[in-house]
Amino acid sequence: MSGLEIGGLVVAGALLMILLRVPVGVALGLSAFLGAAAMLPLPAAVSLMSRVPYEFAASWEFAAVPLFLFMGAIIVRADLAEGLFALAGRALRVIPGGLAIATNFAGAGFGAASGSSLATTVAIGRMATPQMLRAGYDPALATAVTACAGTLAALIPPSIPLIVYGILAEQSVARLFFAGLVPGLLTAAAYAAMIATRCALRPELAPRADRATLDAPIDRGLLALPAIAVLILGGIYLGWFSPGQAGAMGALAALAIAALRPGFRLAGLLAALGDAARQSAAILFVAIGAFMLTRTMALTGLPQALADLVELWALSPVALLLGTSLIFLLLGMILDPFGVMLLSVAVLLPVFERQGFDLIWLGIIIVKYIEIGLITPPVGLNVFAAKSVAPEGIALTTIFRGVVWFLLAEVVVMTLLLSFPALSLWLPDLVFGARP
Amino acid sequence: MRLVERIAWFGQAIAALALGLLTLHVAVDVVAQALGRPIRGTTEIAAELYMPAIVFGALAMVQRRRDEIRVDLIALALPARANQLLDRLVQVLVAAVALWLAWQTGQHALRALNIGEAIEIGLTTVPIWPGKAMLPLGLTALAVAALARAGAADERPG
Repeated sequence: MSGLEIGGLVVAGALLMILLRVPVGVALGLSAFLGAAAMLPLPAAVSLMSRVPYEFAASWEFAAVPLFLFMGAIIVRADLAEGLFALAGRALRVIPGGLAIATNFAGAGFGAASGSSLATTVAIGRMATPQMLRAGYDPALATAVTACAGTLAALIPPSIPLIVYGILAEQSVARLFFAGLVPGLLTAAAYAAMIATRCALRPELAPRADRATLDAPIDRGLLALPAIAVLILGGIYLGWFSPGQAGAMGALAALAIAALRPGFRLAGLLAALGDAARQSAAILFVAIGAFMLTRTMALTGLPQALADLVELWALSPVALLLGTSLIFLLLGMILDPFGVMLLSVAVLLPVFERQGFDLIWLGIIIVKYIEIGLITPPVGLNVFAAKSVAPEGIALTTIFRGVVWFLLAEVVVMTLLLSFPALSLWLPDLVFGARP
Repeated sequence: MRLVERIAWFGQAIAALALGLLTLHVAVDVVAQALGRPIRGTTEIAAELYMPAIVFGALAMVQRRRDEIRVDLIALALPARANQLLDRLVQVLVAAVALWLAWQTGQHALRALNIGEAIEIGLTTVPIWPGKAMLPLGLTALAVAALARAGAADERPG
């Protein structure tokens, strides 16, 4: 068998195992090992692959992942998201669909402090969905907005997917953080515009809130949550910290805010440590498998061959982007987001590199696609999360019906991001200077 | 079963402790750096000792709580019995892979112990075998948790 055939079999085998519910990390790692064993003498393959887990896990760059997850876990355990939502709800109540828009921006704000889509959807949905339903909102809108607001977390820094992408694609995580900011805010703005337009045209979707329900007292201390986001980005911008150091400082800042609130005691801290450790283990285990796959792919030469093929066909950049967009959307619909991203980085990155695409911009595009995959059927993990915290009796199909409108907004956002790379690259270039 | 729970809990406790130490160590280093006296070896210790403990310590608990990253699409298509059988087979596969990798990484850890592999920080050295030992320990615990899941009587899909 030629290297290319083995490479193709490895990818097909990994996909098959993933569909048979083998944990994604095991599926990627095992198919990578079998591929390496087919190319190399067995002892060499064993030696090459068995060293990956330690070399990969024992990295300072990856320390940013558990640190930011720890920060997010503290914020979730201390219920810090609640006040953010109350604050936004009060500010936006005059706009049609104000509560839904508030949910959307609370998602953006919470994402800025947490970095995890699912955690954001669960935290925001738990309090916002019942409140919207009480106010007489359309159930499809009230649930879909929490599923979609969660996806904002992946772009608005700090973002766990962007950290992992940056390490695998050998791109600066700090640059990626700043590159995600404008696209993340753009998505939030597009969602808000869509909600306001729909609710203005069909007022029965979102009855105006009466004043009394929203005049609950607001804890001023909650303004501290956005302050964490400023601390992180500002610290990186000023060169005070690397992304990993920003994670540690952010976690301590979140801990300080949480300690001032009633109910968050040592038990909350220990639970947050456990949550973050488990989330880190789950994510980095997949990343280890993906790194093994990258090594095997390099052995087989498949990514290079794909790059040659694209060159031979003289594919226009637009055709290449449309083609890969289709692949990402299809994979995103059936696979989990990390699996899609890591598999595509392992196989497709050389193609884009050869064609002269900016890999920072590409990271933003890939993360956008996997986030869209989180809200498309049949496997919309964020939609499942939104359902898990919605009141009984709201069907999955109802939520997906509401999500369709958000997907329309995403079409506009993706068209803009694909057409104008400057939307993603302008800010990092401004902050760190243009790259050579 | 209670033994499995205890093993998973112990692993998570080590991971949580390492995460707490990582946070403090890095934060203190940031402050020290700002004062012009960074703590030498912070990034090395974070990478070689804390990170393996966090990633591999918590693996068994992830598996036990069914929080591992997987795709459940097929559960929508298969009847319940086939689903259970598939899940058991997958858990056995996970256990086999984990045990094999535990064996391999265990040898690496022993070598690190025998040759005294260490991080050099100025005149002092910090041994890195404890970090390397987290792999065989965590992976063996993962295998135990997976086998317990394979043998569990009331297997629920998903």
